[in-house]
Amino acid sequence: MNSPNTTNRRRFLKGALALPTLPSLISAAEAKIAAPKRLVCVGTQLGWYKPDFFASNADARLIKPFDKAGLGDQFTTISGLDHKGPTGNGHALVYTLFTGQIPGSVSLDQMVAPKLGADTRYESLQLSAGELRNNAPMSLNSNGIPLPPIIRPSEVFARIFGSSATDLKRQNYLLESGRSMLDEVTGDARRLSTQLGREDKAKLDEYFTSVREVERKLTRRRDWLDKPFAPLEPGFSLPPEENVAEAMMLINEDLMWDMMALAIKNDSCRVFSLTIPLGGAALIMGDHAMSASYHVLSHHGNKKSKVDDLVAVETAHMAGAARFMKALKEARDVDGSSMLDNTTLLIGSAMADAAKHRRVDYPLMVAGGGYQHKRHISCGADNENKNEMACDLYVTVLQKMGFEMDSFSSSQSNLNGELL
Amino acid sequence: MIPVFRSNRVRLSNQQGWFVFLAGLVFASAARSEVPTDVAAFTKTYCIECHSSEEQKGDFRIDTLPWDFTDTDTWQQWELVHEYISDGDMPTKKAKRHPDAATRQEFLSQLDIAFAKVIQSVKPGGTPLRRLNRVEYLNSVRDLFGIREINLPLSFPADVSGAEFDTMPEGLFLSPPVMDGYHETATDIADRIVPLPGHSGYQSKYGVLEIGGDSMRKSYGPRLKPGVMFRKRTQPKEYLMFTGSNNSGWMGALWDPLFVAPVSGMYRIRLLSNAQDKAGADGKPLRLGFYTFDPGKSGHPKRKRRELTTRVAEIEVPKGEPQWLECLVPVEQGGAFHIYCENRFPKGKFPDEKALITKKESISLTNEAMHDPAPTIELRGMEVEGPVDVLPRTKKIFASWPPKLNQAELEAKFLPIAERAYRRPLTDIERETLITSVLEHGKHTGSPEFAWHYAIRRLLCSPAFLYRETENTESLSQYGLASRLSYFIWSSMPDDELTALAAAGKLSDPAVLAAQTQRLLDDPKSHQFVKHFTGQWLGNREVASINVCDNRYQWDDNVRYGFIRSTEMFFDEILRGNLPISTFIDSDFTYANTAMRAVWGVKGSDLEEVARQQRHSQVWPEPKRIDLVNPGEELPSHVLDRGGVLGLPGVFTITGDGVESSPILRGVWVMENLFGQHPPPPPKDVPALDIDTSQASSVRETLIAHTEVESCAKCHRDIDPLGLALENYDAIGGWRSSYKADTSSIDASTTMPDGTALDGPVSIKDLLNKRPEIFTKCLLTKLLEYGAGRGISVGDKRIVEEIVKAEPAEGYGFQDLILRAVETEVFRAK
Repeated sequence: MNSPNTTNRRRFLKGALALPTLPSLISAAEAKIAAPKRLVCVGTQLGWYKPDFFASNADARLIKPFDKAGLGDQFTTISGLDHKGPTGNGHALVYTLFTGQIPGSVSLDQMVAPKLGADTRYESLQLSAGELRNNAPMSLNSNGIPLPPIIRPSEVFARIFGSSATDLKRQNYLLESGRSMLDEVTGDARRLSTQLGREDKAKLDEYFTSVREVERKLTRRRDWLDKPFAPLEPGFSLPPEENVAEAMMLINEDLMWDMMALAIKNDSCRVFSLTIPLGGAALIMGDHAMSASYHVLSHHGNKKSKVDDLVAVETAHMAGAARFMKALKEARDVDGSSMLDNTTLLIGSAMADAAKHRRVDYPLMVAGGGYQHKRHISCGADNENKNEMACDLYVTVLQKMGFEMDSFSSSQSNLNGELL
Repeated sequence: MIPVFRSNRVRLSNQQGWFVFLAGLVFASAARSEVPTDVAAFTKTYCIECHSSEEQKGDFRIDTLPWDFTDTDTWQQWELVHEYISDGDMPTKKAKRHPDAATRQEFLSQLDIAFAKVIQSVKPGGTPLRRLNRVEYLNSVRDLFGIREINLPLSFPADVSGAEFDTMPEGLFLSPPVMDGYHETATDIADRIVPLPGHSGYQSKYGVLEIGGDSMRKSYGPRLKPGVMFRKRTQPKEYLMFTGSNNSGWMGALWDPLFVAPVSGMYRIRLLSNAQDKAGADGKPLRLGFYTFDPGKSGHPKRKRRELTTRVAEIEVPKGEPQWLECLVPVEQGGAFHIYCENRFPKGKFPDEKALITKKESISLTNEAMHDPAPTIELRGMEVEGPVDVLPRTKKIFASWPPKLNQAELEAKFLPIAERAYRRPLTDIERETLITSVLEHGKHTGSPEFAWHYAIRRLLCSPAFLYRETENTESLSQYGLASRLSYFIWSSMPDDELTALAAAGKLSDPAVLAAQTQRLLDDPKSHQFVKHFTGQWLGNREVASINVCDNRYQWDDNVRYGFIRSTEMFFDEILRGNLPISTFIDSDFTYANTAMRAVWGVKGSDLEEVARQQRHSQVWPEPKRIDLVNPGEELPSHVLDRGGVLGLPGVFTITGDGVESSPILRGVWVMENLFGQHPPPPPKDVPALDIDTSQASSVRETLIAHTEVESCAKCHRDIDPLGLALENYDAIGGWRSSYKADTSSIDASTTMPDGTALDGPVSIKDLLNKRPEIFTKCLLTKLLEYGAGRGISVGDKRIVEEIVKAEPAEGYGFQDLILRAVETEVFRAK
């Protein structure tokens, strides 16, 4: 926080609170002493097997990894929430998990990224455990455009710890020369402008504005290029081969969880999304190949053997989450608190029931983040908590992270009463 | 009766800003002045009660509406005023004062005179500056550099939002994410032409495959069993055998999980390999063929890789002890390669990739191939190194490598590329600026490669490349015309012949222009016109993405493919044959593939069977022509009525949501796309009627509500009958005689406001056939909007109407109409 005008800025933003979409800043005073807030949004494209997801069931198998890791008091599963949108076509709308049901809107992680990510090398990172069959990652920018995720662990690794010298040299060259190139084409546009009519001139303004914006982006990236990367984490190394084949998705996913933890620990990035895609291949777990592809397992028809295999795959996802949380729990933030207390993890799926492609009653979990966790909360019309929207949960998450917002996308209320 | 929305386009809501641009630049002053006294007196008496500062019913205010016909938006609003008064819709019954017939007539003739004056005095033109859309950009860079495998980043925003066509500037904002995408792609293209020395991926060694080694076990793990690609032998020592053959696409060995080229270039592939002890099926030594393919190629996943592959190299594998063999293979950045044993089997032993085979057949063929005792090639290790050289494409540009950098070299090699990219000659300043900046960059970096890389990026980010027809003249220049014509028909930049004619000043000669238009239409690249014009006019792009409920309808991607292709093929036949444009209204042919036949209930067709056959086919089931007069087989009667656009199922699919059909959307679609009328959007604050045809009996009843509410009735009395007459088509254009939840049969009989009875699609075709000029104007307008990139402006209107009037008795042929469109000032004006 080196801005001399922080207090004025704060006052200005207070005044602008009438605009619901403008996130206000966390108080500068708080930020100076408090540890940074972080958000990790995780969504699967194939839902979660709900009978084993909600902790209302004491024997829920998907919860076991958290209990085993001593994190039994660090999560809350929440039932009864969804977007109240169309109920069919689960695959088509699976990307709306963190956007709500308003077309073309921004996802939660991208909403907070400009603020939470202002001081880190990366404003946010989008990861996926494997290749996306359809263009439906969890993150959408403020124009509602899907942000393509990174699927190769080596690429994430290079971003966090820096890559080879030649790569840096290349990036540096492209950023530097990119800026001067954009300068030159702006000159072209200025010359062109003199030959144009009044209306066309006005239209060409779009070009000037856009080029300036891209230059600004290149400058930010260039500025970070000079700053040294965090030192390598002792004891961590990437496997020599890339596990991008579909069957190897779980290995890839494990690496993604690990690298999110590393990026948080060295403060390269504070906002993440992780997409766990639909896989068409039979996944390999350890030495055992599953009986059918992940996708086919999700259409289990309640056949026990298929459900068991599906839950095994999903338990592997959760084991990654638990390992991630444990790593953060043991790490200390600048103010001495546990990193997990400052990192909110949201896990869920907008495919509430993949077997039927249903979109009612999402499996949702909030973990870490310093909440008074209750293991499970029931929401929805039939319960005493009458909030019904998944976005109500996001409003609470936003407020807990210091955003003075009382609405997000299609939310109608919040879950403050239940979670704070 | 024919619906009578006079204005071509009435979009009053949030796009007003654009119409300011549409108005053109040169106007007679007569078009802009004080509101004439008589007109003002009339509006003051009868209109301002509801449409002035106090109240603005229908979001409309007349007291501030200027008498300014230079503005298309204003002109269209006056046209609406004319229409409402002449139809007697205004003043409403509730209004305090009503004009008598004579006053009404006097007012209308005042407006008529004003309109006539305007139309005479305003010149055509006024297309705003527009950037290349997604399709045009990609086609242009492909034509410019001969790079097939280029794509915009996934994050590149979609073009169309609210515009009728993606060639119109309404959807073509240049926003920061768009510029970012152009910039990223420019770097990608530069990388593929001039790889930067010393950067990552430049000359590395990739230990790709150790047979039996860790990387292999990990990547294939338990899946590595005798399979489609090769057979693994563990005794006496681990090795792989090529068990497939190059004439059966599913039996190649594909290495993309293990190797992806980091930069474009020639890669040295080394194989530790030996041939078994006999010759191949052709009597020659066994050979391996190398194929590259483009993993980034978008398109349907079902299009199998084989179709996208190019054979790039071949080596003979000697018998005896395994030895290291080398082969140079060109691979694009992000690309991979396959290897096939070329001559293990005689040609024709296995069905080729176009054959329809079932899964069972596929398995048995694969097994047969794998266990065939025919000799093959054994593979014990593989290594990839590179790039060891640049691609042939680069050599073609530079003649020698590394490239030279000096004034003469830039003049000889760079400036011609720049001229092609800018689609016009360079100005002296441009020549000087380009050369200076590239030379400077070379001096700064000390490397010709870097300078050329920079030069290519700079061209592709320049406004002269990204925007087309950047001129400030009344009529397009020769070069502007060449561009407009080639982007119209090819969605890409002009070729050498067009450019040469423009340079010679001959293109604007009507005979030359007509001959060139004909040449462009005859070229295979005109498929771009077929694809993108049908993609938008007939909704094919929406068909490609709509989600259809497959529980309710017989639906899969074979059906979807059939819908898209049959529309294209129908359109293509009319275009290629120069058939009368009335063929769009009714034709004695249509197209359908096997899946569509199943959906349509043609005897002997079954969708599951089609799907079974298709599962392992590498191509989609292509539609076939159906002669509707002499089909030569028994067809359901609704199929025989499917002549013309109103038989194409895609059209009916996009006027629903994949679950229910919507008579309103259908009515609007027919009005906009066949009648050329654009009903205004519904007034604000009216809740949309939620149509659910599963409650069958209520559809009509719900729609009746429209005619009872005054603000709805004005438009819906025209829209709704057109939609209701098509109710026998379900949400994917299949034929239904009753709704799902209701067994009583569907009644498609309705009445237009003037009493014309409608019943079924044929009655709408009859209606259109009676007044052919309506559709001629509609189609001509669409062609001009697509080609010239603007909504028809005041000045354009007169010319459009002249062509419509001049239509010969036998009607325009489709190519004739395109030629007429191109020769008009509407197309040729800036």
